Amino acid sequence: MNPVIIGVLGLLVLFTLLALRMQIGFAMALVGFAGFIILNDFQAAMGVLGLEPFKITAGYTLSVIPLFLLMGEFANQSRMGAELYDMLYKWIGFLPGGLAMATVGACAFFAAITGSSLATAAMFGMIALPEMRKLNYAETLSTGCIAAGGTLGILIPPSSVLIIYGILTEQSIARLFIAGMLPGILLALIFMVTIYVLTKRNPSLGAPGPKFTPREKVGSLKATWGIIILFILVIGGLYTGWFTPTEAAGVGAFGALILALLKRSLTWKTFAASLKGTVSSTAFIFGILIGAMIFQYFMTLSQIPDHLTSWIVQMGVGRYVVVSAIILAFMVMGCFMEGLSIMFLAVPIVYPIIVRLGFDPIWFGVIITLTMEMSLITPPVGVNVFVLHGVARDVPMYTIFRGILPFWLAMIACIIILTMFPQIVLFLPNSMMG
Amino acid sequence: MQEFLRGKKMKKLVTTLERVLYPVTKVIDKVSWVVLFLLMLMTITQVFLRKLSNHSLLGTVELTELSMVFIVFCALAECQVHEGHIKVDLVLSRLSQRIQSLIDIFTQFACFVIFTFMTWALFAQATVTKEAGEITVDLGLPLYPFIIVAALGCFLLGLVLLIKSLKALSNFLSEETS
Repeated sequence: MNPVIIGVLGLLVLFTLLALRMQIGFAMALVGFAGFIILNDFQAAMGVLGLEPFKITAGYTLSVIPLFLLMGEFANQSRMGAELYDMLYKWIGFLPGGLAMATVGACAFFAAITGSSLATAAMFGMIALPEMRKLNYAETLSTGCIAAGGTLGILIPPSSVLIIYGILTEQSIARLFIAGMLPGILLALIFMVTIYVLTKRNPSLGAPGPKFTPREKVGSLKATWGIIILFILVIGGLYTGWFTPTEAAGVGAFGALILALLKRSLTWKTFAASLKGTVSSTAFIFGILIGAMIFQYFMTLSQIPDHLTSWIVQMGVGRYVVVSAIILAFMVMGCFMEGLSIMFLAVPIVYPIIVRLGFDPIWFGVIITLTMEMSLITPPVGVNVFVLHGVARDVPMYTIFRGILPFWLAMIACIIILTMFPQIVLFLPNSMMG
Repeated sequence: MQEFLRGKKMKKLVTTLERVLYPVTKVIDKVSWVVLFLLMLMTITQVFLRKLSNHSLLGTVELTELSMVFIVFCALAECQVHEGHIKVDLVLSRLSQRIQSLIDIFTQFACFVIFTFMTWALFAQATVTKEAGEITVDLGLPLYPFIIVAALGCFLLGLVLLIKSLKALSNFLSEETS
């Protein structure tokens, strides 16, 4: 039989297994292995199965994953979420919708360091929501900005989505990280402008908070300077080529551990919980990664990516039409699946197309990460919304989704801006030293 | 009545298996914690040494790579015990518990099968590597023991998946009579 047909059948079987709630990585390994046997033979398939899981795991580049996760776990233990929020509350809370802006800012920073959108949504659902309620913020605005703000972390480095993209496409992880920086800040600013415009048009959505004296403002920095310096050290070290990503992650984890110790918020129990949380997340990421690599062998053998690429190139439609279609497809998949899994499934298939059409792989990585952010808040399975609803039970899901809409549109605007001006993405990585 | 007994016996078997295996996965998981912490310490030491004295520790790159084998493969099984490996739950949660159990029997068994093959393949790879006498570049460590660690990790994960499948079977049987 034609290998392409076998490949398509394999994809169908894979989606069926996923719908039957099989673990994503395991399903990919199973289908990839079986498909490889059909297209080649058992002996060769066993060769892949015996080599690939070890090879992918015992790689220097990937050691960045557990170390950055560890940094996030330790930082999470040091109560920095509340302190960041407190700081921004004092600095910009007096603006119209200021508390929502402070939430976005604190979310961006917290999510960047912990690398977890879900933890961010849960954390700020507990910290920021009550404060906004005190000032009678509309529930749509207060929950919308938390759910959207939480997604910022996967764009601002360190970002696990960008690490995975880097592995799948063999791009430099340091460059991808640095590339996510400006777009992440841009998106946070667009979110804040959105809040500003919304509250300007309808002041009852979010009343200004109290004003603070300069002394109080500076005082609020005291609790947060440590984590801010750590962040600058890690990202700056990457940018200047001082550290490899793994070293940056090791320094980050160690620094966050010291900060947590200084704040006396680390007990044996939370220390153990941090290690446990880290290895558990590492295990699930590698569970998918190993499966995805085996699946990729099968896909390559089936020639689907090749055929798809030449088919699309021959269609002769404009390259921006193609890339828009791809982004749209990612967004639709994002409604039903979780971001990392989409990455593993779809990037190996569409990446050759992007390269053939002459787009910059780093730029595409950032754009795809943005669409993954959107997938966290789009119905029916916007995970951030579920988590937030879990913390704030009295706010109906519908209200949260309605509150997200302006931020979702802001994300689309951001994608359009980054497509028109790819320099925003590429400027920093292209000026990197080392 | 017989069906009921079967369900009950099945449940007992599953509980016994869990009691035997889960403490093992828990201990192995701790290996992963320790190696992760050591990896962090080694990385920070390496950075300090290089920046302060321009000296490099020999073999940190390969030690990092080999630690990853422990961190990942020692944690795979425990992660599955807590259902930490991601699934897409869109369709199934809307069906009845019984049908869910029925489907879980097969999917988890299929997962057990693939990890059994992986264990086998990794052991075969370890043998080949041992016979070829492959060693790491800087420290000259033999590579095959680390592949065996990977194989054992997959083996343990396979066992957990088998128990998950049996558990689904036992749930299916007990729901049949209730």
